[in-house]
Amino acid sequence: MEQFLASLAFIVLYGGTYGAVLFIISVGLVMTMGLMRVPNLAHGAFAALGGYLTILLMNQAGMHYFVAVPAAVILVAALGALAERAIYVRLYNIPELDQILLTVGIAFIFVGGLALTFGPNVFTIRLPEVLSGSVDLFGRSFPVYRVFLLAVGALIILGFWLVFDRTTLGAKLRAAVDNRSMAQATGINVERIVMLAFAAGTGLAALGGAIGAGLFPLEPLYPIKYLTIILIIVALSGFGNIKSSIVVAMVVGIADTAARYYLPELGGFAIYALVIAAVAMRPAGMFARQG
Amino acid sequence: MFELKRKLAAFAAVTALVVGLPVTAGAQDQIKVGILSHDTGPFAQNGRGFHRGIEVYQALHGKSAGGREIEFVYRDIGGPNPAVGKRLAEELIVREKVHILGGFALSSEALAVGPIVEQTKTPAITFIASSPSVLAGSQYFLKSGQHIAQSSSAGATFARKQGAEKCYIVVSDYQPGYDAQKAFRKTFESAGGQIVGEVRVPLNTVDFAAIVEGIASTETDCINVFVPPGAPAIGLLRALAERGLVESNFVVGMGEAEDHILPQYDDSVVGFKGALYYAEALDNEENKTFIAKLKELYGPDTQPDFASASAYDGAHLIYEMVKSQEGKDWSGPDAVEAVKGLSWNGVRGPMKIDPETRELVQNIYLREVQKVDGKLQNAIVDQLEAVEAPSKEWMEN
Repeated sequence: MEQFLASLAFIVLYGGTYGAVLFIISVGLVMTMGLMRVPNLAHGAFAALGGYLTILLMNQAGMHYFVAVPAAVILVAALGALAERAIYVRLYNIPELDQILLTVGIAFIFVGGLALTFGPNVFTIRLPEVLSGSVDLFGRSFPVYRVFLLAVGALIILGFWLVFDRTTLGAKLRAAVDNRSMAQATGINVERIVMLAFAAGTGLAALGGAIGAGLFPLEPLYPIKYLTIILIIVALSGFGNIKSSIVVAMVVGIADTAARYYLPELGGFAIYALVIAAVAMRPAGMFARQG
Repeated sequence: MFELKRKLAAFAAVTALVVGLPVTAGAQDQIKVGILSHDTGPFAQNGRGFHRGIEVYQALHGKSAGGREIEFVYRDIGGPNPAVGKRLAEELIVREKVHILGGFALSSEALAVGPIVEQTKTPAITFIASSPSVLAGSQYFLKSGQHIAQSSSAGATFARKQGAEKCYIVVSDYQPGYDAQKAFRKTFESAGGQIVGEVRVPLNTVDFAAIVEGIASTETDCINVFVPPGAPAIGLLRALAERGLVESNFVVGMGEAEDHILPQYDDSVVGFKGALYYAEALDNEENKTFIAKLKELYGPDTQPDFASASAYDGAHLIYEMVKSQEGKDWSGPDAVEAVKGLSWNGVRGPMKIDPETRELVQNIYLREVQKVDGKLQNAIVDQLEAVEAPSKEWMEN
């Protein structure tokens, strides 16, 4: 029994941290898919860029981890805003296949660019002293880094809740997701909201790429390699459904960890079974409003 | 079906003709070597090692041997794609008219190219591909890497020597993983040890914490790992270290923590061991010269690795083959025959081509990650001398 409880605590805590990183990386795409209806397959590239920029700022500019990460996030968010105005704005009214071709092309440009700039090797980000120890939680030792990931995840969720439910900007954003032309008709500057949301989404991806580097090591193929799991979160969440993406990311993280713990050899595929079942039963998203 | 066979036969005849032509034209003064490399994609680190190893060898030994100029041409396979490897090998032989093939980071590439090598009688040297079945693909295959069981079995021998009793094996769920797992298990058990758990981890694994948690709940004093280099190796080692298992167990792998990868780890990797045919810290003349030239050509921070060391030793083998044909018309089969039984001192120490099996007889070194003057590096803590590759029967039973 004790053994069982210990393993349960492990699964919830480790699965939870995995889910938290998945949420931070994917939520931007969930949001922009809802707003723009563009499957931005280059989303993972912004996450990778966040991680690589953090390394660059730490190694070249000598910044501390806790300075380099926010700086990288802000830089990537600015780049996201720029990319939205320069490239993505042209995609809203073209066929979906063209959108996919263009965004996957951007992802490949990033893959090549990262390989050229940083070389083919895997990079991990050196954690500051504060994050590299471990603490005792639920009767076992647990890396501080994982607690940090959970805390950041919780903060982001809190931030989303505040912005969405408590601010006018959040109300406008929800309106734009639900009915773009109606929102436009009531005088909401949807274009500006889309740009802000895109910047926030790419910024969050960058945050996930930077602080999640301990779980998802940085390598040039990052944008393509983790695209599947990001798209799984998006597909199960439903377009623009941020609240459900929190639950979905946690379910995916915990289910994946549990399956790998109990069935190490088949566990890697459990997540795909979950996706097939969920999509077959609730194609609009696991927790989508039924209508 | 017959149609296809006829086409294949016709293709083989044409290739043989094209490749055969220069032979009848008399002794030519240039030997072209085609290297199947990886300049992009997940194995680009190996490809970079190939380029560097060969370039260092040429910088030290000149660009000709046995009265012939030697020219290397490279092709990028760009990922785990044996079909592309095969097409590029065909292109190198038919269009570029190379006399020798080299490279081969993956065994699947060597297996795909085997029939072409056999048909065109082109000597081919695999730098890394270490599957037991590689050499069976053609009688014109030679190696400058290893047979995977040489390192895996040595890992088990080292573990027993250090008193390990109960070992857990973690390998990636693909053929090289199975081969490594089998060799380690057989050697460890026949030396009186006990395997308390084995797991094959899917290649798509990102977070290894769950796998490691399973190991931690088993009573072990030794863990054997074999996962592809890059993200999987780093992910697994970090998870093991994070759980304190590197400290409490004899953890042995192969090339997961070479010197050039060490900056990606923190101090928790101290104590990790790798059993392999090459070690950066080897104190022999060849290795010292090799590393000095490597640093001169690519900068003082450049580190050697097993890929560049294998390419360097492979380049030596190529030069020896060309020398053996001095003053004669080039014959691939004769060149292969001439180097069977050859022994020399490579950057890895003494090595010999077993004339019967064409496998290498070489030392296997046990390296351990240590912290010296605040810097992580691998030190050689033990070695097995003149390790032979196991027989086909041993691997199969």
